[in-house]
Amino acid sequence: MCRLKKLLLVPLVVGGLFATGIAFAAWTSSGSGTAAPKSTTSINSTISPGTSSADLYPGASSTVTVTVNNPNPYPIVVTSISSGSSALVNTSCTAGTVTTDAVPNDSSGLLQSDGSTRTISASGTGTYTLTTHMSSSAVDACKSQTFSVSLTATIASA
Amino acid sequence: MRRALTLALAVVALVPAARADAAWTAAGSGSARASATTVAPTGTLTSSCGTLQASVKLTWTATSTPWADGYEIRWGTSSGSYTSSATTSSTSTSFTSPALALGTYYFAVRATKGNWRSANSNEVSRTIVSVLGVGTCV
Repeated sequence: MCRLKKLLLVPLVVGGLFATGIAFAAWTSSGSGTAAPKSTTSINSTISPGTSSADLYPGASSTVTVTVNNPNPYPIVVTSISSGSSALVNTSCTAGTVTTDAVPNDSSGLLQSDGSTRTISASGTGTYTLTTHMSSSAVDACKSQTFSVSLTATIASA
Repeated sequence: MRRALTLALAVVALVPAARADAAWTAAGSGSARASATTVAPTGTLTSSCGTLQASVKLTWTATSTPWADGYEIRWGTSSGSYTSSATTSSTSTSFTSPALALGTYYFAVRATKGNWRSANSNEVSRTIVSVLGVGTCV
């Protein structure tokens, strides 16, 4: 009976040590000071505009790239990117004239612009291609304008 | 006892898995940048007198913008100020005005795409005079 109790305790202790180790790793990776490894303890990424050629016109679609940085000391994947919509520009080129499509959730990580990479290394960056559209009713004031489209992304550890 | 042991092992195995999953989510925010192009103007606009005596025929070189959907022809009696207009398809590169009243008329053409307009072409002018009481382009 005493031997059996010991047998029961060993895995519990080992398991406890494992759990502690995980918690410590999460704490370290997030750079925060709390024990619970939550998303709020990770450092959020920033989405920066990448390349875009001046090729939108009424009714046209094109592509733009964005760069997502990883300020965390561990690799991450971007699992989704929201749709986006432009704000008012040039006084009368109305909000929503330019939109970008959402990239639906992929828990294994979205493919980057190179077509093969999914992971962003620690302190690295990843580039993603988005499809963009200009409304067919875009007014004349939209000609030759540059549009900023706000986006959000969800990110998970790799 | 064996059942208790199995249960303990299962609990131990589940705990780290659940924590690892909860640990690694975050967010990102920022923006993308997209840019719009413009409609290229037509090439040189020239004028001649139309077959209808008081009309003016205009001919121009097509815009280099492949997605242009038409042309807008504009005219008026003051240079640079156009009070009348007509449109043609993108495959047309000429236009004959309706019969005009006596006076000097100034013309320009611009390419279109939806609500977009290119810059004006060069301006040309023609005068309608009275010949034996009939308006005639000269």
